[in-house]
Amino acid sequence: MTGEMAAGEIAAIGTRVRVVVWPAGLLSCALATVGEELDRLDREASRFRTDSEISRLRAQNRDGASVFLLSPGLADLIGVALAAARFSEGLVDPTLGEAVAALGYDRDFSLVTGAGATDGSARPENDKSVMPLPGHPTGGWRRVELSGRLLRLPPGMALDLGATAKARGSDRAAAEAFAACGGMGGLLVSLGGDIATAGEPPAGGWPIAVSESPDGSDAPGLSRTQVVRLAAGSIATSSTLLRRWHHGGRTVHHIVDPRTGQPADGPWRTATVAAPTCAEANAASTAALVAGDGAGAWLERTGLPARLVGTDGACSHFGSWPAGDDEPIFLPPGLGAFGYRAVTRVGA
Amino acid sequence: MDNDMYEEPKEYPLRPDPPFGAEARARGENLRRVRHVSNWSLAALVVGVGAASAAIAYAAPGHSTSGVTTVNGTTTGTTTTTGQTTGSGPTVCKPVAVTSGSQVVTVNSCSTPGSTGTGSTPLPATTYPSQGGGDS
Repeated sequence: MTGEMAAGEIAAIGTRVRVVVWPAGLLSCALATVGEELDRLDREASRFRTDSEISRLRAQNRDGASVFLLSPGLADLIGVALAAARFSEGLVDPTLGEAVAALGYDRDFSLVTGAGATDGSARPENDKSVMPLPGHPTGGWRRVELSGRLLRLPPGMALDLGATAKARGSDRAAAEAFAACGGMGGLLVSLGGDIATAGEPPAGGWPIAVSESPDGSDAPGLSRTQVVRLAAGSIATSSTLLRRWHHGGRTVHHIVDPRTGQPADGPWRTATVAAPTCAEANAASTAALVAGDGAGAWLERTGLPARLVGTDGACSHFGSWPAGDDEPIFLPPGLGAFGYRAVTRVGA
Repeated sequence: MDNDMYEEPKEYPLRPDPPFGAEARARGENLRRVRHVSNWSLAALVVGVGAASAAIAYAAPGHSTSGVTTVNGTTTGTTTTTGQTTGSGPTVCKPVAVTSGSQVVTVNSCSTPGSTGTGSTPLPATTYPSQGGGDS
């Protein structure tokens, strides 16, 4: 099958959502389906909405309840978050809600902006002044129990699915849209750079710009933009250059180290990882930033192709990450590090 | 009476009864087989003509592959397809997406149809409220 390709964008869950499809005639259907899926995701997992399921759960857990019957969608998201924690050996932890809020990220980021955010392609700032923050017990995720749709939480614990929900949303939106629009051709969904695909790629694979600039440009001070080809699977980037704000006299960002409850402060500033699912790719890219000096060894163990940018702007490649431009990313067989179900349709 | 004119009636053996049994069944079977083959031949001919027409249409030099697409009156295509290849989707030369970490878009929660958000690519008319925020 061949046909023209089309791209469209919508705004949802506080970020820009890009949908690319072929044949082009599927774009309207795909955009509508992706929008619906993200609206559902927001109602399930947004910690910035008081009426979201996870906010209600948080309030109830504060009031003493500890066992909850979840919707299938939220159970799926929490299951992915816990799988990410196991996979990353605790480097990505969904129980960091209080720590992230303590850093000032307790509302939609566009509102945090008013409090001094420096989101964009800003260079890392050398503000090392540290305001002491409450310590965070490590391994909180081990105390969360999920059995099907039944969840048991330690009293008072707040979940923050921010590290995985958006990527999982990208997986779900791609799968839903592909199925809802006839299951033909190919489709790519990018949620603020968390990219999932479904169906057949274009000839040679989906061309993706891996960049430290949101518009893919080679801005001064940023690492060189590389174009890679994604034939299947997903790709995600985590960066400490974006979603930055001032708090307590210093510049902080949203990548929090569960071991300290503080923003990750390792030798890497940006990590891009390819994986079978976007949830896996995003968990790995976040974990790599948190892992710091151990990121390389940890990535080698996973076998996932990755590109890390150091705080000095130098790029390092891991696994089968391509060296040049316009080269395909090879995902070795047997990946699927989560041991969790791959892209599935929650509503199916 | 001259009986010489009289001829003994000749015996014309009666046509045997219509065949029954194995022979009849075999004949019927053959007829059905011929009809069956004819139907399949016709179907194959139709499919073959259709496939050949499609292949010729796509292979024609004048086949347009411009990737710019209009959605609800707003041009949204930033990708371009520059030709067709066999066995897969269109050929795309430029990046179709950027992965760079979380991007933040500020959109009023009561966006009106036709409004646009931030970014270099115009948004389609369909907008959704900006609610929540993801991390990556």
